Amino acid sequence: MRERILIHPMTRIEGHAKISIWVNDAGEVESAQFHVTDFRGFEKICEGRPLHEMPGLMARVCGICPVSHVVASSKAGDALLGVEVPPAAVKQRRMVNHAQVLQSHALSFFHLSSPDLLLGMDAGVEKRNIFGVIEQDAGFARRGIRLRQFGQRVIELVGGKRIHPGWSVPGGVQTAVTVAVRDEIAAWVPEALESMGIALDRMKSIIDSFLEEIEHMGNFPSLFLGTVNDDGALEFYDGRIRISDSEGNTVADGLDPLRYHTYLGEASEEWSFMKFPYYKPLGYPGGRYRVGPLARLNVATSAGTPRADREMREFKHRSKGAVCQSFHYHLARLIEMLHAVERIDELAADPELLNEDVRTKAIPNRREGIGSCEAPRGTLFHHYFVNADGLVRKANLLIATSQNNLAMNQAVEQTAKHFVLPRQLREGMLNRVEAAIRCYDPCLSCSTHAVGQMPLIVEVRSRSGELLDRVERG
Amino acid sequence: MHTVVLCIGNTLRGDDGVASHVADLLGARSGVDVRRVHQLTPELAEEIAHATAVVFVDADPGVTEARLERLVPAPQRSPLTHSVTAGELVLLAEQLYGFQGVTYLCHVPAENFTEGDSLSEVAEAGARAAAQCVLALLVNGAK
Repeated sequence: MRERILIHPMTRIEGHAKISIWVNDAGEVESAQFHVTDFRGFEKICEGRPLHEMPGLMARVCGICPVSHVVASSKAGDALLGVEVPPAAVKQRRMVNHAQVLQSHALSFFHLSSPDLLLGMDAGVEKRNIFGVIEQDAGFARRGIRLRQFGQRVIELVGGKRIHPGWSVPGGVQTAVTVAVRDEIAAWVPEALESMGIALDRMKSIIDSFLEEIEHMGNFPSLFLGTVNDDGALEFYDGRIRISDSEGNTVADGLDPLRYHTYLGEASEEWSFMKFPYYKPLGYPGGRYRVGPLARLNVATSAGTPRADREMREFKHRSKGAVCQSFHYHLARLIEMLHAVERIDELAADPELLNEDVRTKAIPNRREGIGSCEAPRGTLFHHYFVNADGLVRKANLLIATSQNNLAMNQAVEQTAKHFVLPRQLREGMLNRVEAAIRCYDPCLSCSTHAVGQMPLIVEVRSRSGELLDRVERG
Repeated sequence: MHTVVLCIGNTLRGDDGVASHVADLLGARSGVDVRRVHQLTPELAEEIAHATAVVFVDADPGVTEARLERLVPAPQRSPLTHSVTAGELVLLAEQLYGFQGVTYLCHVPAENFTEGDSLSEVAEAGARAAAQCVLALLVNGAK
């Protein structure tokens, strides 16, 4: 007779989810599942819309990573038009996508995860929030806010607004970057680099106090998938897909992102609205793979920028093969933030950024188009089919978070088995289960936002409904 | 005297965008920074920190008449995601940047939050009344 511990709602993630922990007759954790209870339906909304509307519409998919959806959608539109995008437009898209990685990662690290990291997994729940972080180190919290502000400001300056910018369109972008905008962006860079150095030093100084979490909170072999450039370095806008295994071996390289459907499959489970993508050659669920910061650093041979390269070399020494510990998503996220600041600096110094030729106009020349890029949480694919009038007949979005679905479920189960004692439930045990998910920074709701004011109540009941234990928060 | 008016809402969700209409009615004014924001985000804490007064304008389906009231900074009681409440934002500004200004919340009547960029009659009228409330505050000075 199995019992079920239900964590509902999950906190400090984007969207609505719950976790079931199943307990066997011996009172031990037997298995665990991460259920996503949001239903998005955006693919259906796209049907019948003109392709030129798609980037603006897709910006609305998400309030935290709209730029990646705009970029992937624009690239799918570029393919449908069959045009070459002006270099200045590509540079704008690259810069804004890096800015989004910076602001999104800053939110994840400083606001959502640093309460656990700075105050401890067992700190009182009333302290485990941004105000608890401020109480302990206001300067650190201020730097987090400034880093996010920098990212948001770049998006606003180049993309027109901070949330849901729609400046990028099929064929390019709508406006050129001015000298004043370029100079304001460049002026932010020194402070941002300094803040990233401080954040990385801080993270590395506390990491050894989480050895048990590093070892047992989502540490398992899997494949890793990410985009790399021609040099095998980190790439967020345009490149080829590389897949490596937990030993660090390259499993597949040079894969065309426009043919993603030939090597990535999507399975469904009745207990979750989120799909379960897998690497087709290894089948389901054996083809489990991870995307996002940890995966990108594992598949790439270098960062391609000097400061991030130094950090990445040190990062790779944390394991003999690939770095498989989910906890290290946090450190990987910081390294990517540093990389993003360096790339923004490079792009701001490029005279081509100011070129006023930013858009190639055309009518639809193809019926099928695919766009991909690296979003903060991993590789993103937009796949559209249009009719002769350029109206979308069908759309498929392969979202980064869903590609981590199998891994997140594995992480939840491993963490629950190690940390949760069903007969002696403590809030800190359950926080670790949630923290395993937070490593992946899942964005579940995409366009719906706060988790809300709901309290978290966890109850253990027998099959007959008898209450065996209860933990409450909020 | 520097006042920031933050008009909050999604203009593609019907009356949720009513605060943006209030911003239109307020127009440009000396010493007043009227801003439209999709939602409140943590980095706004620094951007309001030097203001002497901050007015948050937001759609509220729970009121039938526009109402302006002092905002008491609220300690955080809910898990943070990527947006914050007005009370939390003021607390962040106080604790991180030493903000000492006065804060107000202007509730604007609203009833329709479905997709679309038009306002209900209730929200249209509410926006006019809310703009009058905020203008009166700006003319008479925050207390």
